Amino acid sequence: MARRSSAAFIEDAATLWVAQLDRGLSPAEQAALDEWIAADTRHLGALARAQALWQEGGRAQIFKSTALNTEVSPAVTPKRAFARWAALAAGVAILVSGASYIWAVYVSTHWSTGIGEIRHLPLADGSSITLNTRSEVKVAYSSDARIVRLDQGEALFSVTPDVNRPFVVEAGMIRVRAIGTEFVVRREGDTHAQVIVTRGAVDVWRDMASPEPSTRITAGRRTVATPEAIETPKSISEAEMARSVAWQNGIIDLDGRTLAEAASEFNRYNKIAVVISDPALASRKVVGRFNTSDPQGFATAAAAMLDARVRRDAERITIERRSPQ
Amino acid sequence: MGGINTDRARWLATHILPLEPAVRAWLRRVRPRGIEPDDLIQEAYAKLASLPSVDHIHQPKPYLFRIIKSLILENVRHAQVVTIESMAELGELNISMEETAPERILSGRQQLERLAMAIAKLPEGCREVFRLRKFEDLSQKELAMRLNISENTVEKQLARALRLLAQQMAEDRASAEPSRDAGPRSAPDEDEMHGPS
Repeated sequence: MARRSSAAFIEDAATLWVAQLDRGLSPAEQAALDEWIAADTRHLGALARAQALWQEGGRAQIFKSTALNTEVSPAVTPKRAFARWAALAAGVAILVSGASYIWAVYVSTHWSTGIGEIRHLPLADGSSITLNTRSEVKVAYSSDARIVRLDQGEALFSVTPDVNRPFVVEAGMIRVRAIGTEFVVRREGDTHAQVIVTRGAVDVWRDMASPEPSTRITAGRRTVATPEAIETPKSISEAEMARSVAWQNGIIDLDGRTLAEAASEFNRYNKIAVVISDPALASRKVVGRFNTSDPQGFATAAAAMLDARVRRDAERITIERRSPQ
Repeated sequence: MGGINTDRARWLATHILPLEPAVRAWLRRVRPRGIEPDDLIQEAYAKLASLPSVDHIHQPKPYLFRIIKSLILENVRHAQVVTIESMAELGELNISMEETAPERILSGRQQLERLAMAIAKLPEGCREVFRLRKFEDLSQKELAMRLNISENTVEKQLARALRLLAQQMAEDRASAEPSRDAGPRSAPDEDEMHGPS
């Protein structure tokens, strides 16, 4: 499936190019840059924007006396976050059974997204995490392991293989180990996790007192893991797979989902809730592609499809039946 | 050299970067379907970067908006599925640019202030590397020696700093819910935009 790379992904590459341009390029690198620029018009744009910022960055020092010296400290200072994580990691190290993760944590970071926000997080090893709305991860890289804890929500992981450092996602009791891979983990409630593999394969297991064999899931398959069991992986269609990662581009792709399911999907991304007042209406199926940030557009289109009407007040958008006669 | 030339980068920094919040606010309102604001902005920068000259652009703001609009139209024409909504949005495209809240346009000074704040918020190591390179004007090589880290690390940290700044400067995209006409009420004088370069 030909997928356009995201603007954030391009931005990452562009900023790296600017840093490389700053130290000077070898002829081979210059050729690679030219090739990169030619590959997509947005590449030149992102590069130009990054170069503009690079220029401007030097001028920002006129504010050195104010902004740069008065500590505008982030909410959690890295050191404190480190201490907290190290304590946590020590606990985890004892709990992780069967695996011999020796925790020499030197990098630990915490990221989260608000409602409707999507963030792309490139990691030092070339892997990346794309966080969906209202999600939270902690990343801890050590010399032996790359551990990402998904505390909330949903994330797409794109993993650079490294045989010496397994990449493991922890979602509650569920563990997912990447095998050179791209996959999505979505937490459902406190205990369940849905795993969809778009490339490569992963091993899924439950973190139980007694070690258990893991279940391998290959590309194009999905499973739901609970503390009780790991569902047998089911194969999903290419189109379904594309839909399951459409959120990366800020899109909700509905294909014959019920109106109720569609509404709850929108409500993950927006403060204003879409409500279906009528049960018969709620079970009707809808089709379409929408921006995650556009519940009104969705409601209007859905109402038009189902011959319903939309009422909007401060907190919600209600899709309801037209009043009889 | 590769990339774009320094003069053009400086021109973009002075004339286009300060318009970004206004463009993003406008895009949030119009919400063109099927194309992301970030993509549009990259495409627009690409157009501006590949112009043989920018001497003829006396009014960057209407110029930039014209570029953005034509990109949206181009996209709608090529969309596989033209939705009813996208047609409605095309109507909206006629909104005159004058309607973009003027307070969204930053003065040169405000932009630098914003950038300085963004730099201050960088993670410590990354900020230090950026500061030494851009403010103290050490080369990457010198910087690596001074901090006793590899040149590769310097390069990576600089890229990271720039990436975080690029995100910060586009931050409107995430922070502001459809706050259509909110925004800081410090109506800048538009002429200030043409600060020293």
